[in-house]
Amino acid sequence: MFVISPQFQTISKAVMRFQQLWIFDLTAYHSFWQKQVLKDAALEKWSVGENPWQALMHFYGLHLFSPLEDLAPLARDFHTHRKNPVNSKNIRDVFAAFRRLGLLRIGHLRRLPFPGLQKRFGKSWADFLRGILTPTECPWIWEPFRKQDPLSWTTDLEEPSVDAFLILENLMSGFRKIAESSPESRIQKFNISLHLSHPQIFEFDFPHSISLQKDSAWIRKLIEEKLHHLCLEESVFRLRVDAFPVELKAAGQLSLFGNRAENLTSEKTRLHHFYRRLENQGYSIFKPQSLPSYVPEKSWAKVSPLNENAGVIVDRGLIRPLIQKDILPIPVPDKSCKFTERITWFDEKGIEHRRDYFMMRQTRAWAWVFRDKNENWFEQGVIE
Amino acid sequence: MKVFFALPYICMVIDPREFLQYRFIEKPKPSLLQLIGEAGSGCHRLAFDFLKPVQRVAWLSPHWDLYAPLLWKMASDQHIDLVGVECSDRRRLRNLLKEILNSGVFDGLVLDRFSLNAGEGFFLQKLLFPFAKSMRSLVIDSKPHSFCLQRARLSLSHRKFRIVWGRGGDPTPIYKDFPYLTEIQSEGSECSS
Repeated sequence: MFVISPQFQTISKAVMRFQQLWIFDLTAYHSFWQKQVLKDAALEKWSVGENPWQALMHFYGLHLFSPLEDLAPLARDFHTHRKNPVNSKNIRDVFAAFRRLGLLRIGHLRRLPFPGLQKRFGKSWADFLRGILTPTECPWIWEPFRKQDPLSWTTDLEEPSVDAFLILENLMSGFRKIAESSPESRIQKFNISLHLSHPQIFEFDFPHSISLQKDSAWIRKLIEEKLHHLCLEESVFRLRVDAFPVELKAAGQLSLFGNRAENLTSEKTRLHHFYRRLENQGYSIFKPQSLPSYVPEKSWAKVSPLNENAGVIVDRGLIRPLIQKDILPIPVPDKSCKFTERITWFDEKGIEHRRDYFMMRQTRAWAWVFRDKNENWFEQGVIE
Repeated sequence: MKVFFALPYICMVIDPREFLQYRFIEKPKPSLLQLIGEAGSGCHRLAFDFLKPVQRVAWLSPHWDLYAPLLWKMASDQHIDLVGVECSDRRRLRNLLKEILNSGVFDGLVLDRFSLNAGEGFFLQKLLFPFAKSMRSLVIDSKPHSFCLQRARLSLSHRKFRIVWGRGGDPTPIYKDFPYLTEIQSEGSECSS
């Protein structure tokens, strides 16, 4: 169940903004509480629907028998909300085209196939009309709204004072404390309140979008200017600062790394998200991990970069060629070879193995070959 | 005649020097560098020298046959965080490139012996345009590609790497020592069978 109200209500934590309206998602709640909200909705004239499309239709007073022109305000709001490349002229043109086709009611649009609508008017319109005509089949893109509480600071002065400089310094220390408590926050506006001895409060709004960390000089200047014009007859005994953080924009983009909230996260988190994303898509993404063996093909293993030991390389067996292929038997070389390395080891059965590695000049490169205990020759890599 | 009357007024509105400046501003082109050479020519050994300065590199390969401990040691010596990606399915390469570039976590990319065709190459070039300044890309292949703005041909002689710029650099050959080869040739004993 979804509820639409022009004012913000505290009926659900799942909230999104649609232009000037608030859409509340109550689907996760028990039917008892849904009924309670329905009672309130009847009193408060909220709009209710099984999905956001139906709730919106109800709010705009639309149904399938409504005149087609009545759909225009909702279409305008929808395209503005989705930031679709549709202007008011385009909306007029589309409705004029519908009129020419003899469509007078919203329900008449059902005669037109959606692929045809998309081809003629574009994807934005096809999505909108699909939502209006088949609300149960068309998913609504939910962009959660994260409401942020104001950051407040209050202090009582040791001695009530009319000294503007003292008030200013105290206010600035308040701003510093707010900035320390939430270092990353950017505020959209802030208020300061001066409580006078006589029950009188001076409140000043500063509708400036600023950063608490970086713009302290600017904040100081703004308050200084305000206090300069203020003539205090009574002494101030209490100061209060309210800073309103910027509302985080809804994350409606398809790209995982495109939205702003994601950009705020640390680089390490982004990297982990990325690795996990690639692994979920089936790509082989890895870092090496050293193994105890000295045998080149068994001396390392691919591990996920999310593994703690990924990329930890033991500093041994590194004076070797960079390109190492699968082992390939070769005839006994007829050229001279340069000895590079000997490896001897025992396997689980106690059998001794030995490899003498050589480098051998081929037509365009140096091959890395080895001779085993039985005098068989193999090629394992290319020297680079 | 009317044009002659209008010209001074146009000049009053737009400063001609400014006009020329706007006209000839070029968008930065993506740094797409190719190392031409077959296996054993030194393209892998010297790859990080060509990529510098980078911090985090994705090394893409269709079939991984590099000795990873050595490659990662070379990367860590140059303070590079390296990640290997194996993509044997060619149809998924474009998606992989998109994912890597859009992630914004890498500033270096190596495409190792993919034998890219023109379509894939220009697709990569188009993807790289927004990252022209922030991303350095390296293509290692045995045949030259026209979509790479800079190309260098590498080969390995008996002791040294030979680098010749084919496009976007000085064509005079540059020689670089290969310590591994020098050491083996001077100290290693011979075996003739």
